[in-house]
Amino acid sequence: MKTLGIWLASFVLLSLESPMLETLQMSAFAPDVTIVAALYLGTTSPFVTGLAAAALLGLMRDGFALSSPVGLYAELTALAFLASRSLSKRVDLKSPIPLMATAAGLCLASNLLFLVLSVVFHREFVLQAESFRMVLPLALLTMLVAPIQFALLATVERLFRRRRDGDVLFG
Amino acid sequence: MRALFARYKNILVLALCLALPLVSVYFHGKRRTGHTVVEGVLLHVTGPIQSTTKGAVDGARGLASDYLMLVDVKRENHRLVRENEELLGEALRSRGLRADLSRLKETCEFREARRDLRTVVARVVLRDTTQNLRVLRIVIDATQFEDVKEGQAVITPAGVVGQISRVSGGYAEVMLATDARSQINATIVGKGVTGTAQGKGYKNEFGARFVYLERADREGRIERDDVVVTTGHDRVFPPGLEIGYISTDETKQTGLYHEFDLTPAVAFAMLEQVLVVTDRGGAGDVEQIFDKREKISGKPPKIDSANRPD
Repeated sequence: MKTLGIWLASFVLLSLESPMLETLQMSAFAPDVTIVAALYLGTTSPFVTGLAAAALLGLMRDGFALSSPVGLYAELTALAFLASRSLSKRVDLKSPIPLMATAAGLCLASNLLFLVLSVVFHREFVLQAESFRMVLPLALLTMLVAPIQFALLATVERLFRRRRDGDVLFG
Repeated sequence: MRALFARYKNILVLALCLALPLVSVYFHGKRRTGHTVVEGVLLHVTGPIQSTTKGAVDGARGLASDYLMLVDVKRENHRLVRENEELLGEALRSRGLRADLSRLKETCEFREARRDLRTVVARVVLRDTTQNLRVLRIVIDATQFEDVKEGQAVITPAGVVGQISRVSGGYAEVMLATDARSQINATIVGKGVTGTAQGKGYKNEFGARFVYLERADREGRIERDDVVVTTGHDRVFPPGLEIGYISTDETKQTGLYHEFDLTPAVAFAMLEQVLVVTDRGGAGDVEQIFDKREKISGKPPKIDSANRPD
């Protein structure tokens, strides 16, 4: 249930991201919400449910970005979850600085992998200098958003956990 | 089977979550037309959600701009009100200018047609009216013109206004064609009838009449709306200028004289400027002058119903 709650909250953030950025006239500067969500799932959720949730969240992102092949973001988000899961054992992701650095690194790696997979699999993809130019700014933006999104997802997790505790009382 | 699954659950899910998307990427990355089932399903799921969230964000933005962010609205409102007033003033001025231009055009056309006349343009500064708003006399500004004298004809492109009765201090008083003292030698165009256009303007009467001596050899019957013009024989008014139009078919006979009511051609109440004839050339044929004027202006004679006698 907790994982479902985190997934739903991330999905809502993903849905709101595009129209809100359009309103603020900042459509080109979209932080990677799914990577941060995968990072959170990697630190808090069990393996199976977390991986499934991350892959499904990536699939939803594929739905919002149908210009790239379906499955690309699902793959990247699943890989981000695995990376986050192994990093969480070495890095204290509850502190803001390590969290921000990890988010920036993951986002950077994810964007580069996106370009590689697009070149390999996407026949209609044309690699341009613009694609590389935006990788670093997006990583920095994701780095800034990561602590805020982590706090939001933590609040959602607490809400779902409190409900479960309630069941224990009456169960 | 269940035990096998439980033992290798993590690996199976890992393989599934990594392999399936990769296969999908490979398949969807190929060049093709149309969309697949997976794309269709994703579109059906994410499409309504996207439109709902967009609507929600647009609604919130609209609410903020219409009800909360009203800081500039009042200022903008004042600015628009001021701008509207200025534009209204400009529109009214333009309307006035258009009327002035139209008058100027008419005057130029008239002067072009009547080069035999030397005229000066004078502005009407005063209109003397009755209780029923009938104009009895007008005063014109002749300060700029030294050769404006008593007895000179006052006209407009529409026709005869009257005659200067007095000049004093640069201003000239004009006795209108409807004045009881006014008598203008006149003829009816195309009918061969010559007579006098006399004013009837005294007490409660207003207007003019055309008085003539019945002739056996006149051409055709006198009818309503026949044009009465000057003959030039009185040496005051140049020939061929419209005095008015026959108001009615009914005639009144006084001894040998027949009388028709006349509607003046000029709307005295609307006069803004007039032409004073300071010098005349040779007399021309009335019919030819009349026709020439019509050709230049391209307009038939106007009949102003406001000038018809009561």
